[in-house]
Amino acid sequence: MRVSKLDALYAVMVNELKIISREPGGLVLLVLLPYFIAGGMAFIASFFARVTVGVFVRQFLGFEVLMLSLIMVQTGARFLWEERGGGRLEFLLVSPTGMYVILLGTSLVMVLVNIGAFTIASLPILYLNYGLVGMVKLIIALLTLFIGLLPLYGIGLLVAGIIMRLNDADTVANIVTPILTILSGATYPIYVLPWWIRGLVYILPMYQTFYSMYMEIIGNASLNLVINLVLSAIAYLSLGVTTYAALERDFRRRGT
Amino acid sequence: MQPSREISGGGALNELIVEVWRGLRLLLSRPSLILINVLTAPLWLAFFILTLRGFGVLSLGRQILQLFLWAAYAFTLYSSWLWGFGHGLIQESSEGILESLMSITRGLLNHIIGWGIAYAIYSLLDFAALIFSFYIVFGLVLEIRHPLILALSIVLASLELLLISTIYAMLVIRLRSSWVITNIMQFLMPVLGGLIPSETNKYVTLINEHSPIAYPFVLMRESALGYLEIPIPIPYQLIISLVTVLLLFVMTALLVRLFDRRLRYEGKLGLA
Repeated sequence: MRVSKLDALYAVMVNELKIISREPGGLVLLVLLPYFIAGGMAFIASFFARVTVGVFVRQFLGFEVLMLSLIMVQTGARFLWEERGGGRLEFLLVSPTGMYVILLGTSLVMVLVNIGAFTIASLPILYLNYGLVGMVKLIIALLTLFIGLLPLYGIGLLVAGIIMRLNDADTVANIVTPILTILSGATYPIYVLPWWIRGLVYILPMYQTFYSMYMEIIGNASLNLVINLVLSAIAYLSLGVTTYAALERDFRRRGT
Repeated sequence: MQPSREISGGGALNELIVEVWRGLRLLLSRPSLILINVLTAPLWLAFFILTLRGFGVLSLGRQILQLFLWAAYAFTLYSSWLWGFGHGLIQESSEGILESLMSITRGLLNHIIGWGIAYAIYSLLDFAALIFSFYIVFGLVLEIRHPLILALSIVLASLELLLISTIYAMLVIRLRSSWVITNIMQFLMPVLGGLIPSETNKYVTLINEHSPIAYPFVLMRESALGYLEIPIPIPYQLIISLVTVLLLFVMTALLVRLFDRRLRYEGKLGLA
């Protein structure tokens, strides 16, 4: 029986969803953690400045985007690293499904899970602050988040290449995570940064995602921002896929 | 699984030294990772300060920065003991290392204390990384008014966290998603355990005064900055910290014995 690409993609996604749902606690954490982090920071800041609801919503949104972005960057890299460590990567490479379908399936599930977590986490805050109108704005923001998470997966594939070459996931993750965190620009005003760091913040997709979503939620949606994000998604995904293709060629040729 | 052997003083001490040495070798086996953690620490600090700016905090005085340094150290201690040490024990159990250790050593308590001492020494690197970060980002030089009391408070805090993390690990060891609880605990425990300086809020003062696990962390700040946070004299605070550590030690010893027996005779992990 011949399985179509779509059937294979569906099967991979169902499989990945089953793996993720084995740990429901992890999903609960995705919802709770932004409250702990944004709440804790607001608590500290409240001793020095007046933290208004509007500021909290913006910061909460920023932390959400940052957290989901880091998860997204790690998804592809961790998947490839763990599959190789467990000796399953070789099987996947020779399976008729094809690695691109597998990677797309696993990443799409992670995108959907992240969007689900974001919706549950931000629903009460947006409803309390903006009422029912906030719900409509949330839908638009979710579409933006969907587009914004795709380039991050591309960056993740790029990181996967570095991890495989250096053969050390922890070291690479410990370098990449703080750098991406500070270059996210999602939780602070980026005008305080030197111009060259600000340039890096603009190039990376986290700030674009956060800023587009924030502008949509406060009612100042900008089409330009979304177009930039789409272009970013195309560029980073192409870069990630190209890097991964080179990596796969290497695997097949050298076996490592 | 063979029953535990009787403990003799000299043999137990030798075993403890071996455990400390083994732990240190393991912890220091990846110097590149340690170096990267030290070098990236200023980035985390910069991110934290930038985020405060996002909340509208425009400037921070030297005294506040000194308080931040100690609060950051307290959070790092809680987080790294729960994750590195507590989850280290959980990982040892899931990899079957605990059973192997039990068959060749006199008891789990020796292993835990030895591994804990090694971890306490290793965690001083976190302190060094923080001092380095505050210096790089703010040019802040660490102030220490009473170094002896500070050293004592760090030892007491480390012992306290060693014992708390052990009890915690034994309680959650059987759970599939123990990491989720640890993630939440790393935020809740420091709040009850003296992370927040008492001058921030009268309720915080109340928590710091009535929570026995908070004392070593309050003492850290008091000895470094040279003023009392809670209206209790320093010697009394030291005694309360010491008694807390002793009580935790007795509790841990009893629970580890129970844990050891269950694993040895019934093959079951955990206390429940």
